[in-house]
Amino acid sequence: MLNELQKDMLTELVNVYVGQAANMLSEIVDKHIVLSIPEVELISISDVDPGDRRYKLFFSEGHLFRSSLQFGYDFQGKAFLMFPAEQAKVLANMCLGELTETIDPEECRLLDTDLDVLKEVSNILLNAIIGEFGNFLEMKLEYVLPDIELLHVTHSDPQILLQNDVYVLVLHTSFLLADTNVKGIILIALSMNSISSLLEKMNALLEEHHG
Amino acid sequence: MDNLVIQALGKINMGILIIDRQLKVILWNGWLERFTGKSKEEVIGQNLLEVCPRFKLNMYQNILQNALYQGQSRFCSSALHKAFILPKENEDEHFFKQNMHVEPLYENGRSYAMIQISDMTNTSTRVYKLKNLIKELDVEYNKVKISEKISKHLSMHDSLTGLPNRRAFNERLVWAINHAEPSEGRFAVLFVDTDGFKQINDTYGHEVGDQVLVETAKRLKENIRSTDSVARLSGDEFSIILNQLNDDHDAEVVCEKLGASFVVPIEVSGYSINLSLSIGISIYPRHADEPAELLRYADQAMYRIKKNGKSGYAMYDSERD
Repeated sequence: MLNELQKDMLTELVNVYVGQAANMLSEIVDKHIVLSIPEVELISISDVDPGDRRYKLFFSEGHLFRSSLQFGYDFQGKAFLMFPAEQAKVLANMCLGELTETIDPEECRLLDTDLDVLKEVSNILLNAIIGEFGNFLEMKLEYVLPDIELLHVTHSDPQILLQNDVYVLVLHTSFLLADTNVKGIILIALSMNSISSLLEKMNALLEEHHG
Repeated sequence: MDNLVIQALGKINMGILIIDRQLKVILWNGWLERFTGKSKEEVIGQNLLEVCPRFKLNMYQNILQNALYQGQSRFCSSALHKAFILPKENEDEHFFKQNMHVEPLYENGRSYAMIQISDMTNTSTRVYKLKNLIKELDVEYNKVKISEKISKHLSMHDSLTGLPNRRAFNERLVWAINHAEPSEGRFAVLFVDTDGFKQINDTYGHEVGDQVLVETAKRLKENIRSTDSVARLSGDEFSIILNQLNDDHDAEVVCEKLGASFVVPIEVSGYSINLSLSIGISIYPRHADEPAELLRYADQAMYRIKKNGKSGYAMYDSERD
């Protein structure tokens, strides 16, 4: 869906966006947090290969933390931030200053305060990305607070998701603090208009730079 | 209808305030009046940063600017921010816990920010207590697990020699049969009895007798493989399982070795004590395939050695035993 130049450009853009989110988060939790998006893809969900390790999160059974943020007006879609529950717990602990490198999936208990912390983290991160995309495209944007859910994913759930022919921007995300590395995934489901605008804008910029 | 909305805002169980782009307060609801002790007449028209100094922090000014100019909604958790609005008489921000929602509002082409404050003090205390309770339960659970492990060890081991006891030996014997059966394996059961132990007890006393048993256990253990097992059945009776034998003669070789290890006298409390062993052997599956029978046949073979002058070993023989 994206050629190498477009991929590079998009990766650079979202890394600037999440860098701002990381600064905000670092200020709140008073610790240096680094956020990085090593890979960005634009895919059609129905084309995802379940055997691809990068999408392991989709296809493994178990508890999943999911935050979703709906946005609309000219730039339209829905963004999701997802972590396996034990990774979400490590992230909440990181923010609350209770450093734990690993959490036993069986022992993973997300308390109310953990969920509030995760809601705020996802709010900061998704706002930064979506807001900056809006600015980049010079499109009017309205969005609400994210909804958070703790889901139990069974083997058949991802198969249902795969039947939908939706285009999504996939951002492979990692949070780094001290020796801890929490990995999650951000999915941004975009309307066809929004995708076209994004590609057009990128192509225009690339043409300006590369002729 | 407007009157009803105003009444509702006054009674709603959360703080709601609205500010304009100059950060001037234009709505200050009943909850905020009751919580801060500041009436709406005092607050409306004032700059938010003067009314609630916590908003002077850069990060909160950014959040407000993002709502007022970019239309961004924002959630701030009490776990990370503690409190935003404090009562006049108690400005200890560590005591209160509040969640904050900031939402943009629009009217006549102007934008505003609505700030909602939810009191989370009780919830946080509950979560804090729950966290402590979970930690305590974890500690207790680990203690129980350790003590269960210790009890299990005690119930399966002899306290004097540290060897497995009769109960543990029986379990191991069943295990040996279950593992030998499918692979048509062969193993031996040795019934070991020390010779003249009663006399040692009578001559030197029980304390010396106990030390002799400890040394006996040590020498037996040292002369078998790690895959074999030795147990103390009672008094001066021991039993050994020799696993995975190639032929019956292997068991006799081990018995020779065990006997030889007792040629050197046992030194206890300045006494030099000579001890020998009488050993009976039964073989699975040649002699029996039941745990109790294997042990009984080994005992009977050992008894033949005792009758014939002690110190030595004998293979079970159905005609002679």
